[in-house]
Amino acid sequence: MASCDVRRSAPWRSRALASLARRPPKPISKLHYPIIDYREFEIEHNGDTTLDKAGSGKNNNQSYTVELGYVPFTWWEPELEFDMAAAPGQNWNYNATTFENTFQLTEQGKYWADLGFFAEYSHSASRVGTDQFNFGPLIQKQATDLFGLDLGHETLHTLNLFVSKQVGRNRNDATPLTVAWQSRLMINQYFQPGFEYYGGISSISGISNGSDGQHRIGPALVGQYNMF
Amino acid sequence: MPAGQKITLTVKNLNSTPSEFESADLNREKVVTGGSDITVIIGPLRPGSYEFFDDFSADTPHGHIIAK
Repeated sequence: MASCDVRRSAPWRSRALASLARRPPKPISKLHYPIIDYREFEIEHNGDTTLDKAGSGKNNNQSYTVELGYVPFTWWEPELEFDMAAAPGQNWNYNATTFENTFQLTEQGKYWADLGFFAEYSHSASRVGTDQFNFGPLIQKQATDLFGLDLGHETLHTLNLFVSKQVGRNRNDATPLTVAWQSRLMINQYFQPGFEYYGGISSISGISNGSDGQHRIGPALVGQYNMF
Repeated sequence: MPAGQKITLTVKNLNSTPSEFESADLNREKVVTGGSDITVIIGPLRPGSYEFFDDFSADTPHGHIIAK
């Protein structure tokens, strides 16, 4: 006989939802640059999927974002991001809407490094989810050599240092610090190989967010082709 | 321009419509509104030829900055 005791099942459901709300912030997997392109209209799509042992709960964890942006001033680029995700074995969910801002603080090439600032606010699509702030400096350096080593081409190095903070009733009070780094060899506009690193500290406030501090490093390939 | 030195380039748009100074070789991309000028800081460069163009006018001839 199929009957559901709603009173007994409701606490299980609320605990599962609260656990979902208190998950550590999603690690940053996209690099941001401090140089913006005045009057640029941007449509961007990013996808991420994990590969791990079947049944581990870590395989086929997918997330995708679509971003729309326009640069109205030479120093400010706002973007609107729409986040979707699917945990292993689960259906797709619309996760959050995020308002991103990139500020270019210095003229490109004027100082030893180019400096920018990034700030975003992510609003959860779930009633029990948490909203989140991410912010921090963007630093970029173009160099003719790499620590004195002449590689025959210019190199470009970019660093993001972001602090995250959840807000709302179901928030996690940890303050993670995430690091994103990219170095690449500027061979030509179509082919710029390099590597990227993503990692960080689970909390700089001394309160753990329960994550095990992921660190990821791998090859990167950047290129540009002008279609118009 | 001399190689190994940083220089400031002044780009003047003598047209009434916007242009974009772009150079993949120099890693620079900057809009110049009509009738105005901008500065672009480049270098230090290795000796060589660096191509630039107006991204808003594909049929405009490309230019080169020679560093030596």
